[in-house]
Amino acid sequence: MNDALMIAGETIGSRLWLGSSLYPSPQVMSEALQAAQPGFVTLSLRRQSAAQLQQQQQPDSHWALLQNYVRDSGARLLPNTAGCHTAREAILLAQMARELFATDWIKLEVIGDDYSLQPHPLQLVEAARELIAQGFKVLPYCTDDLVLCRTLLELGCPAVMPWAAPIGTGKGLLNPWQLQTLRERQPDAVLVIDAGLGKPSQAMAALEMGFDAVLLNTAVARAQQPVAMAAAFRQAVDGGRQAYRAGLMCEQQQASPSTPVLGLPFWHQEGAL
Amino acid sequence: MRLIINGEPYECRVSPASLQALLQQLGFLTDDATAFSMRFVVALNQHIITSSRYASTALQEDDCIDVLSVITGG
Repeated sequence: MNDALMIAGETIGSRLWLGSSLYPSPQVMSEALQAAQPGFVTLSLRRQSAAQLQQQQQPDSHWALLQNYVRDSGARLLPNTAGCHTAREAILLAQMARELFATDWIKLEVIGDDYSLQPHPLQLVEAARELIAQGFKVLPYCTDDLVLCRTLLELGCPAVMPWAAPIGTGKGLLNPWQLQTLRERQPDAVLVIDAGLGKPSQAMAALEMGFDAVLLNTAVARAQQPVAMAAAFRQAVDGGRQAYRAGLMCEQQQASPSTPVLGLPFWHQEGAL
Repeated sequence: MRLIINGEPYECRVSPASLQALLQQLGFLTDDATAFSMRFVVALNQHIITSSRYASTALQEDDCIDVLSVITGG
């Protein structure tokens, strides 16, 4: 049965999305991408000098290898607005990203607290509204607040991306009840867990819960063997999705034997040896 | 002419006739205005200037020019 992930009318090739940052080298990044086969690869943009730009032109640079991977795999680029603290900053950076990368997709990040990197809900909504009006496909990085997610979806975001835990912490699904409630209350929305995943088992749990995809970076890039970890995440995401579609059993309080009791041997009967 | 380029003060000995001339002075563009195949995007006072407008965009004292390009990101 077709289980393609569709967002904004486009087919996304994988439910694992991967960041391009923090790898020990461009080559390791490239090999991790090959192992993960992500649907989206995130990247960003910053002020640079002419000398820095010329470095980018080297065939072994991050950008050169990333371009090669995207060209050969069909994965999509997902520029972000990381580091922005106001809607105004995020809107301008998104516009510059569209100009630079020739894509309408944007991972909208507007940070409200520098310690936790918690998204700013009010600035996020303001930026999303404007960018959608300008024709962007806005994928907002947000908290797991149900009403915020619903508001962003009603504005026209084709998916929302609640955090599992603060960026880079690897703490996993800190509030499973809230995430489960979000999934149940928005059954038709595309929901992507973004940030805070540290282990493949946590990604698998998100997919088992019914989330449509996961986006991560540090858990792969900072692993002792990033390429092997990328492969592990890929298998975990596939397994979690298969489990969700297969239908998980309902938890029960009381134990119940899985081996039939009919035909139990005589020595368990009352009065026997 | 005094400009702010990527957040830093920059004093031009010869005032550039246009944004294109400035990008050539800074090494982002060659003399024939090609870009060494480099990808970058330019904002003038926080408004994007597309490459087709580099030559026709005049600069003024204290203009802020930002030149951005790709970096890795999560």
